[in-house]
Amino acid sequence: MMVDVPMLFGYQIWQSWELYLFVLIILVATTLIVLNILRSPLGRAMIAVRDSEISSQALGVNPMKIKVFAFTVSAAITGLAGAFLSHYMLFLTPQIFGILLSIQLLLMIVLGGLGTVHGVFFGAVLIGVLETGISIAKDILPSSIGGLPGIEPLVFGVILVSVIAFEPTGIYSRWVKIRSYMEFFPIYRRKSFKRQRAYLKTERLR
Amino acid sequence: MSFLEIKNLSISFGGVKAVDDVSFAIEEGSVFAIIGPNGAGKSTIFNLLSRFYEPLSGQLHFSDNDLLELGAKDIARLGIARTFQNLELFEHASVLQNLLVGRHVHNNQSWWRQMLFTDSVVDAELEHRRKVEEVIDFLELAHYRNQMISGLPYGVRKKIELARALCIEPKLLLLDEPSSGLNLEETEEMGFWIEDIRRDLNITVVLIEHNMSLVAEVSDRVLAIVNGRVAAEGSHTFVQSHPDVVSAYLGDAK
Repeated sequence: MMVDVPMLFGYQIWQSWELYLFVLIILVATTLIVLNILRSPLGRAMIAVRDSEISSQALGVNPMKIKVFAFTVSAAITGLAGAFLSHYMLFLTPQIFGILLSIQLLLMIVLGGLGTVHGVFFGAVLIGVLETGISIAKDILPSSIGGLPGIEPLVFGVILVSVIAFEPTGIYSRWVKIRSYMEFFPIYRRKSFKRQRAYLKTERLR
Repeated sequence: MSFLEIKNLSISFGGVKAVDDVSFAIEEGSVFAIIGPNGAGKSTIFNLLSRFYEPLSGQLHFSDNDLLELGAKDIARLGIARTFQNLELFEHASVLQNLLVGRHVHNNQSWWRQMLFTDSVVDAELEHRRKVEEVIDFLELAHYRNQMISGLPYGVRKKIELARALCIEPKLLLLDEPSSGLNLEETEEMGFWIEDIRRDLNITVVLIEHNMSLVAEVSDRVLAIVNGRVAAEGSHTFVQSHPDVVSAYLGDAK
């Protein structure tokens, strides 16, 4: 399926740098909106529903409303990104949206750090660089290895599994740890990032 | 009609009658204590008041509102705040964020204003923050303001949960075992705060408590629940010497 060249108020965006600029503006705007949600009552209600649905209800939060809102916002942002992806590719086939793209998108978030805004940017840049790196490596390697199918899923799969196994909170939390190491230099409190044993979880109201 | 009125309240889980035909009324501005052995159904009464459970029969009235017509999420809006026996704080958020969630019922900004963070949202946020700071001053939590809940000791969490309930600016405060897990000094402190909450903030308090000296110190009336039924109601000296209550705690003399 062909996609038309994007039009902005009657002006056709032909050049790739023009499209880049336009997407960049949208990205900044979306990020600002996301950060605003996070610091507003809505964002706090989302944290509340995530951590304890029962006590969020006791505080007057409607969990269903918050869940629907969270789902709607994330779907809206993803939809917006999808629209720009199609303009960038100009030609859409079902093959593009295979398992590899799903893994890549998931990996961007997990690698960067779940639940952080900074993390997504780290993740997206890293995966973008990695993809180019793999295709360069394919050319350099002898064709008996480089020509094998399924190298990309292999690399992405190994990264995904090892991030979940060794650094479940992603690159951003590693950065936070390094920063706190610098701040308190001679004393490093490894324990402060260990998960505390929750009190009396067994008797929690369900 | 009384401030809070509970009539013939019953609920059963499977074959167990957890609360069986319980009736009592609470006057505005009083401190009301509910005592009873473990498993007597005290917390179940609170969960019924919070509308987490649907009662089998009975009536719940809070200053002209029928609570049975409302859902769990609407209770806070009436001005009923509560704490939980085993703490239900938002673990992966800071103390300040936890307390600000307590201000949720006072938020009337539309979602798109919040997305754009317009001036009206900024003003409302400043107002919420001011109210939260008042509570922080009241309960002396300033030291912990920006710490994550998951790293805090139990006694402090207990105080934060009380603070979060106070952020609602409630008319009625339900405290589920406020002194459990606290040391002697902290329990004494909790007693002073309950007095202050009643006197200075004008909030009616209902507390479930096992510590009899705390009950004697703060409460006007005491209700004893044994096996889901009301065993005695009255002043703490009357309830403590009531034969049914004594036998429930110590067993029969026979």
